[in-house]
Amino acid sequence: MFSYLLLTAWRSLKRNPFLSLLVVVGIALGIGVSTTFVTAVYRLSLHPVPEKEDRLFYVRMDSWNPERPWRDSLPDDPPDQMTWRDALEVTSGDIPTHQTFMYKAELTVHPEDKDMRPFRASTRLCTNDFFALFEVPFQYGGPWSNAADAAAEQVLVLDHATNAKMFGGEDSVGRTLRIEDREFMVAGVMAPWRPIPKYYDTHNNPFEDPEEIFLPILLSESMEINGAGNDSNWKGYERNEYADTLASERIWIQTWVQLDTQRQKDDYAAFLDAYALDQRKMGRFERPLNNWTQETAAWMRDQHIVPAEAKTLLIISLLFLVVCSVNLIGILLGKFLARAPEIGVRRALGASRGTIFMQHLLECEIIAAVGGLAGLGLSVLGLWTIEALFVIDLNFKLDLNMVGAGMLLALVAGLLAGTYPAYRVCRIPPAQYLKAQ
Amino acid sequence: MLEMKNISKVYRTEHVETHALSELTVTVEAGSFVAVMGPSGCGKTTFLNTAGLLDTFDTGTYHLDGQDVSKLKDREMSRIRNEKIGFIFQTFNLIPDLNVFDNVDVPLRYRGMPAGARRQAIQESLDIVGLSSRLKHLPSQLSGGQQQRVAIARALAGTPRLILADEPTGNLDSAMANDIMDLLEKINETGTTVIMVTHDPELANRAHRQIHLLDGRQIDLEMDEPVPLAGDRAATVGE
Amino acid sequence: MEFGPIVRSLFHNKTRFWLVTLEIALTLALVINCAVYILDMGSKMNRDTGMDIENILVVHTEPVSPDFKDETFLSQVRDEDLRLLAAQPGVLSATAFHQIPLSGSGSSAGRRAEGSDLNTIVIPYYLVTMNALRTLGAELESGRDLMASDYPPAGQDDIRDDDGVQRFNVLVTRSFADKLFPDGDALGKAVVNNDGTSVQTIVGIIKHMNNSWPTSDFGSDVMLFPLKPGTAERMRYLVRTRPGGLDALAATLEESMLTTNPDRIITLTSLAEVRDDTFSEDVALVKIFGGVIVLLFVVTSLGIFGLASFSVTERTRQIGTRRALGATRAAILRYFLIETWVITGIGLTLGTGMAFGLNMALASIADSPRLELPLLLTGIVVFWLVGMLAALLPAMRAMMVPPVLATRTV
Ligand SMILES: Nc1ncnc2c1ncn2[C@@H]1O[C@H](COP(=O)(O)OP(=O)(O)OP(=O)(O)O)[C@@H](O)[C@H]1O
Ligand SMILES: [Mg+2]
Repeated sequence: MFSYLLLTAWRSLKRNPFLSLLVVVGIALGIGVSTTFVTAVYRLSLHPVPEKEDRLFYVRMDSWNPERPWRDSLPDDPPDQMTWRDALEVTSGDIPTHQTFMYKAELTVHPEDKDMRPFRASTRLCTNDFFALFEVPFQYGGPWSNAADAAAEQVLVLDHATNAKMFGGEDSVGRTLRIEDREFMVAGVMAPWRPIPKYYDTHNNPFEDPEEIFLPILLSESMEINGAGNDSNWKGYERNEYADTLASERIWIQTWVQLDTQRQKDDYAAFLDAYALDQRKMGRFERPLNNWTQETAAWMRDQHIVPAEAKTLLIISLLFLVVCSVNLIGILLGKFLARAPEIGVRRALGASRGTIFMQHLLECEIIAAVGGLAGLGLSVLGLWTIEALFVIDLNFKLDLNMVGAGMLLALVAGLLAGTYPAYRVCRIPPAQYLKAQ
Repeated sequence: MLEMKNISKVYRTEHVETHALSELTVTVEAGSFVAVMGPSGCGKTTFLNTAGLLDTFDTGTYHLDGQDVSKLKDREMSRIRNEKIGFIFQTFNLIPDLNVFDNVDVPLRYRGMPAGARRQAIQESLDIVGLSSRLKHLPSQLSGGQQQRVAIARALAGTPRLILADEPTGNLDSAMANDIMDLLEKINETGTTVIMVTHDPELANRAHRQIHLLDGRQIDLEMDEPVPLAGDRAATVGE
Repeated sequence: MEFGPIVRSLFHNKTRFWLVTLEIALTLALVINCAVYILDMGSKMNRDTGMDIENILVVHTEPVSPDFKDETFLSQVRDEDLRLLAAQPGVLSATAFHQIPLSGSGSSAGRRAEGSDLNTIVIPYYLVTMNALRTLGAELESGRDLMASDYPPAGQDDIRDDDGVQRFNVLVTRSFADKLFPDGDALGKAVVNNDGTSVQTIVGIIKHMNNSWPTSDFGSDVMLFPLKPGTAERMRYLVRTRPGGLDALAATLEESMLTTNPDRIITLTSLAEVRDDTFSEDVALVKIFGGVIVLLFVVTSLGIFGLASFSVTERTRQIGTRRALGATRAAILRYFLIETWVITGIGLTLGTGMAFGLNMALASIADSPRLELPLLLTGIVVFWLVGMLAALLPAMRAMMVPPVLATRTV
């Protein structure tokens, strides 16, 4: 029986291929546009490290101007970065499972090969816990040692692409690379790694690649490296030496901790407050105590990773789907009612209302399924377009999730749009359409 | 076979109420061949539709094949239509984009018969109407008489107990009409009850019995009295 | 043909009629709200930057030698570069900037009027060498340009008074001057930072120029600071050429600059490109909103087309009869066009309300720009035309129905 309904539905589609195409195009556009934006916004707001969702925290401490909050518009928020001295101190305890403090810089790499010009490499200065904290995959070697961190040794970790560029992709662990005026030894080479967004530091461009080179952060002191990210400052200072900056109230360091248990969370919060109170004795941290260990998701929201326009587009695209569904209802209704005489015959020959209803709903679902598939194709095009236009990598995959969600959306839309026309057509009184016209 | 008591049906539109059937009482024996006659608009089609469970009625009782069908659900009525009743219409009402085979197949499909049995039933019923050589033709490729024969085959395929024909020859010339009539008689001979609406007294005379309707009621006419002319009400209203 | 019967027969098919009306209304609301964004961004992007951006070359240099950590050396290279740049053929003026206007990255400070106890306001600033205005092509409205005497004496990198307060003469834009000195008497007045340790006297007012964030609400607030820019990490120059001379200059410049000092990486772009880069996201959004509008029109045209087609198919016989009774082809065409016209009209009327509603809803979620009446009217007119076009094909089909159809059975 079902197969006969399917066959009948299919015949009805074939009878008027142009109209069917029209309907399929309509639903495909709706699904295409809405899944494009849903996927884009979903990708953007996806938790970057779902397995550490409630264990990874961004640390924010209110060391700002006693007279004015960090942002007049966000008077309750502590600053979005930390001073060097605070970051150094609050990551030196043993409460968190992992912890690091870091900043971004640009350093000059001098290739050994004299044919290659020196180039600027984006560089992250951090502690070796960075790699465990953010679960960075390694191809060769691994993070540098604790000792290397403590002694600010000249070691580094290279990203996959830079290793390919400098060492032809070979295992370069133990080899050296000249950066600025120093020789560095390669401790590890990362496997390809591209978190989206680049959640560990979203300050400049949240969708850029991770840095090319990673160095122990304490090298900053001797190499006098300036940050290349955002920084702000509320208290002027005399900058005679590099160390003046490190001792200043300038905020430019990002601090992350991993806290696995409630105990750790409580202890670490208490530790931050104790530190701030201690600093207050020295005339710092004069604002009300306001130190945050912020979950990654909340931090991403504060950083506006998903721009306001994206939300607008999401709403518009869903309303677009509504328009397409209304369109679908209208066309289906017309298509179905135009067939009233045939329905009359089928009813006379023993088709119940339920059978007629099912047959038409099936027809809608066939349309929806074909439209959904076409829509998914369109949404891949749409996502490519978005990636090209915004020069970002959404790293989306036409995987089971996306196909499933897209098809589900299509089938639900088909069901919603098809129910009324199918209902109308099954309520047609058969006698009326069997008369000689 | 069919027993209607005091059946009334009123069509209500915004402005008028039409009593299409009023207190109609009709009994049809199983295996009989009945012709329904009466002037245009007297309720013949309405009667047939009601008898065939295509249309509901307002008051009265209706037993079909011994079963009270006055208060059945749509699904049950559909099953009765499918299994016990075959319809033949004046305008044939074949489904234009199904070929002959598929048209005859429709009621069998709704019955959920297995493919082999369906094929056999279709073949047999098309043999009866003499069209088994035109399985792949579309209705538009057939003459009016052929179309009506396909419609009859479709009505027959499900081996119904009751055939309801609404002016089956109305759109056909007299030679063709006689062919169709022969066919209906042949079907009736196998024990199937046939109720046929017609305006043609000659054809009506070939039935076992005639029912005359006027303004939604059955009127009894002596068989030797003249059959009322269509539309000529004054001549017949004797009540 | 009669208007009344058309409308009456429309209401015969109530549901389908209301569905298309609803679709048209929703589409109008969406189209208009997408257009609001496009117009808003367009007006932001097309604003006058106050600078001769087509003829300004941005020279970005990144030293790769530790020599540049030495301030004297750095300063020497800068002076040589500026001399070299100014001497290039076709160059009007060259100035070193610590950040590039329109680029999306820059520095800002907080300042208030001296003697005022209001909160400081944000002021984007640029450290510049001499001739900045000439290089930018910005116009001095009153006062004077920065002079050599405004800069710290050689060997010093600051000017401070006896109390250790930093004191400079600066140029600001009219827009910023008016924010701190609403009476328009900014020239000669001073601005100070929060704790009073840095005081700047306004010696000249720039008529208009954009800073690094041209679309922000402080996009025209600028302060030019007489402090020579440049760090061991980077040094940037703006070079203004005679109209059309930019490409020729860019072709040879890298090589000549490397002869002054080879230890750096040089990147050249035009200021216009920098601006386009900064706007690239807005341009992308404009394209996306535009695309959505086009698709909306496509879908709704399909809807209108579908409705008109059914309307014609259902009435094919009736049309034949009318033709047989003497209706002209034009009358039949007119009949169906009027029908669509009425439907579209009702839909657009409903849509006007929805457009405002959606605009308010979006504004409350993601502060979107306001909907203006002229835009709405334009949208309605365009939509009406699109609707008529969509109905044209079915209406023409109706027109071609031959009168014989009236007598034919199906
Ligand atoms: N759907 C309907 N709505 C309103 N009135 C109806 C409807 N169908 C039939 N009628 C009315 O019911 C009455 C009986 O109609 P019916 O079709 O049964 O007549 P008929 O005897 O078959 O006539 P004919 O010989 O012309 O086919 C007529 O007066 C007709 O106007
Ligand atoms: Mg009749």
